Amino acid sequence: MSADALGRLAWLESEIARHSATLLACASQCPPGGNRTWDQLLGYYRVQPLSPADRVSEVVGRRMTRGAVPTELRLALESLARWVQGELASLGPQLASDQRFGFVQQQVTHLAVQADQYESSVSPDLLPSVGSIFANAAATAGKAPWSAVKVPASSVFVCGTCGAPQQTQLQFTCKYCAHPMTDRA
Amino acid sequence: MNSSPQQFAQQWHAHLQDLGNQVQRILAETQAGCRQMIASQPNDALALGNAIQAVHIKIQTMRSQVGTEWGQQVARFAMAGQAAPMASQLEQDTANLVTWIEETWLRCRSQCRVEGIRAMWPGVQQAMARPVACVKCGSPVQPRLRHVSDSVECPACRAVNSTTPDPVVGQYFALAPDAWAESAMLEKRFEIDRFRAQVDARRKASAPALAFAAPVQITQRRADGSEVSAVVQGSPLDEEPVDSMLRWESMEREYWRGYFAAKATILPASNEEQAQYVESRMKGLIDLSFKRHKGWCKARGIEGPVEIARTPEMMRGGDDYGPLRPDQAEELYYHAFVLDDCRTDPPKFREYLAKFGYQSNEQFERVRLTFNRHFDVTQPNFMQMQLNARTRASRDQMAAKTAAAGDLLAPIEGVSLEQYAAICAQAASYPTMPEFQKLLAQHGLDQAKYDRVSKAWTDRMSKDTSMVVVNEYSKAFGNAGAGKYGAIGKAGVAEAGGQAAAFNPATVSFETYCEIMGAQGAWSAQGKDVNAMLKQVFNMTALDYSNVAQYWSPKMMSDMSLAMKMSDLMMRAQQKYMSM
Repeated sequence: MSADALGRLAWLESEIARHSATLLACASQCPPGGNRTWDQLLGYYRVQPLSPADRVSEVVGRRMTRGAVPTELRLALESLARWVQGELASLGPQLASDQRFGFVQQQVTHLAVQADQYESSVSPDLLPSVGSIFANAAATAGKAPWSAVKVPASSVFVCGTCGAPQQTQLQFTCKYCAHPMTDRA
Repeated sequence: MNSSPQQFAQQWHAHLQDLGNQVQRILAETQAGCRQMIASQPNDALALGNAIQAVHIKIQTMRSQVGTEWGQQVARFAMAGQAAPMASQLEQDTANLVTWIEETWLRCRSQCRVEGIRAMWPGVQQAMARPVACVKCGSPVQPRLRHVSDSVECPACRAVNSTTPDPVVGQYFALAPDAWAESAMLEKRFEIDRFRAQVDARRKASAPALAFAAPVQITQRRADGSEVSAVVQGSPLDEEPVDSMLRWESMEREYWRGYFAAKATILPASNEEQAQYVESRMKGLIDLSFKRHKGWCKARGIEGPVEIARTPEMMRGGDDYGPLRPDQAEELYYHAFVLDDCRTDPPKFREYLAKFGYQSNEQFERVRLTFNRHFDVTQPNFMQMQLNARTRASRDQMAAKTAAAGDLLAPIEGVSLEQYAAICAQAASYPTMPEFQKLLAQHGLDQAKYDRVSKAWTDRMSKDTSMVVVNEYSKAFGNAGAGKYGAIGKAGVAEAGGQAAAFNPATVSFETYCEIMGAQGAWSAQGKDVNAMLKQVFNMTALDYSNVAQYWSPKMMSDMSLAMKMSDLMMRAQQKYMSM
């Protein structure tokens, strides 16, 4: 295990943290849909920004009040992840027995989670208003499949062969025709 | 928040204030919404329950967002090479707000639930007083009990009438006991939660910034590129004082005693039954928390937990593969999962240690260190290997518990768990009353006996902290093969038991399963009735979904690639259905 490879791994670990924090901070601090700084940052990560129409559509669809669109942040984090994976691939053979390698790999996987967290933090309005919650509850009440099942206050189990009612509790042989009451005539 | 550090604290306080106001507004709207719904549909507790659950999700989301936002702000300062101003004070203020949100909401939720059940009571009384006539001759029959099913012989024509409570009565007795008990004991629960928060805060404040429960190897790089490596002695956190643990135990016991006593004021239960419920609730907590505490174990006169036997000398020592070969890494993980899971049960720990072929706890630790030292964690199948070991350990642990279950699985009034689960599976297809009566008769039951047996099995499940009864029930339910996806459920049970099963996954794909889960999350958050929507959108009943889940859920737990796909697919589906 070479010291150079370990040093590079440690550097890679700090780079993931630095880049992801920069992307998340810049994305969350810009106005809805992004700004010039965000566009420059996307360029740095070689990510093609969405078309203006798509940006507007995402901002409106998610009812965002701040932040770059989550799709673009995800693309930038994916670009970062690809770069790190490339670096890890070259370090893999030298660091086969070092657990820190696995930890850095986990950090790459965690970038997707960070994207998800960002997504929910900038589009909280997807949560319905209290008014619509009550309207939905009232509108769907009584539409569950079992609502159609009618339960009578009282019922009598009858013999499938002769139609006679059950005469003794938990006795399922017909008192009249002597057939099992569950048989069908 | 884009400001200088000096303005930050002021802005963060304003943000917290704004959030508090938002929560108050939501609670006021919720109370108004509940009152309106109760007034217009006093006998429909399900719609009210769906609405309250959706508000609960909304509040919990807001709560977790405060934490995420705080983390983002701290990270922003860290990126600029600074500490957040007044960090510990602001963190405390944020934590106080989160506690306030939680307590205020739970009080509001409890009040709404209790108002709901109070409003049902007149309808319940009316339904229970309604006369019942014999279906055959029209003469009046007198059920002995009106809140559960009964079998009554008609005094005039001798026909056996099966009487069933009105749906409003059934709903009331299903919901009211817990709603009432929760409300009666809510302040006691808050008292316990606050006590635990204080204990945790005190321990956190006195803990070193970096501590390890067991020795670890630390490597540091010097400026000249050379490396220094050393073993750092483990310095586990100080144990919580035993008095504090005993006080916690006593508070929990008092809470559950009060809870089941309050519940019994609506649905009577003997003192012995109440005591059994209390013990079942305490057992889970004792196994999970108290048995890990050496001082508590000593005070209670039981053997304390088996500790991880790692020492710095061991870390510097030679290799020891014990009973394993160097290529048996998955087997080592399997041993580790099984042994680590039973550290709070020392006799069982020693039994497994011997069974696996280790001479001692120390030898097991040496073997674990040896594998850690030599195993290539960069192997692509490393995670899958761990998952296989985890799945196998869980399956074997459950099999061992089932084998030792004894009376837990004994039939109730002659009805076995398999029989009961099969009836439940058939009933979940919503048969008509005559169809259901025939199904019960085939098993030698009528509605009254079925209800008694059902209550007794449900009670056993709720008291069984080993989860054996629930697990066996779930297998038998899937094995019943009921409903249009019955074959999938059966295939799921067979595969989970390690048997090959023929099933074409295209029938209901993994993607569809994830979409349904995401959709259910969205509907719950919107206050929609999940069962109604499941039928409307996917033409499925709860039984169908249960069968599909029986197949895909264990597959996902044991296949890394599926587990990784799931969260993404679910989240996308949730967003799709949230925007509908």
